[in-house]
Amino acid sequence: MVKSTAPEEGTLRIYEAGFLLTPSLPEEKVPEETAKLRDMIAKEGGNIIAEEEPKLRELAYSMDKTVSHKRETFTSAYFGWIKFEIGAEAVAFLKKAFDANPSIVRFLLISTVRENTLASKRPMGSRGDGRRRTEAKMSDEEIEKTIEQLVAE
Amino acid sequence: MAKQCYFSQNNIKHIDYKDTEILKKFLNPHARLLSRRRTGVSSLNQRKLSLAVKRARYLGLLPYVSR
Repeated sequence: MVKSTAPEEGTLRIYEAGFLLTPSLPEEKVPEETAKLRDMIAKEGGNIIAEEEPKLRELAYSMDKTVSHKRETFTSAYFGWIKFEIGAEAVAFLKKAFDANPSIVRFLLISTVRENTLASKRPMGSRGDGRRRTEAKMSDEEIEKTIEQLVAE
Repeated sequence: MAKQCYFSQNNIKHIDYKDTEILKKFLNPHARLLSRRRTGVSSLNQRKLSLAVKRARYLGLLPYVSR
């Protein structure tokens, strides 16, 4: 999903590749596989900015992929992402390389920004909270007293 | 009274497709996107939100349909 706005020679842009690795890959082979992806990016002249190691997770729906004339169905996969800086003209090659990789179930290549775009890891705003917690607090004694008063009435 | 935009309130400039916990707030039980009328999100952010949800769906982080 890379927008084709006339790539200029030599200008670097920020991209992010989110990918799903096949769950048939043993856990210990996963770092090896991501290293391959990193090497691929480096080979095209890219610099890695940020990344997250792939973790096995359940998919929201089952996905099909045809691998060597055989359709495989996936219900879980290792999801990871790499954010990197690369020349706009190199992305097409990278996309082809990702496509050809048999251990990638699916990937998403998007242009993004250098800053961290994840918001969930920092504290959320103080919307609404606090106000509700200022309910009048009563000690047991006070409650007793008010009950007695009410009963007396 | 009009509800304010969640993203500008929490100072979120970029809506990331990987933030599924945030994106889920804007989906109904059938995993369809809520309308702007329901969410109160500004039109610019609603467009970014819908793009993020669609990306998350493609990578299986969010469902296309549910129930």
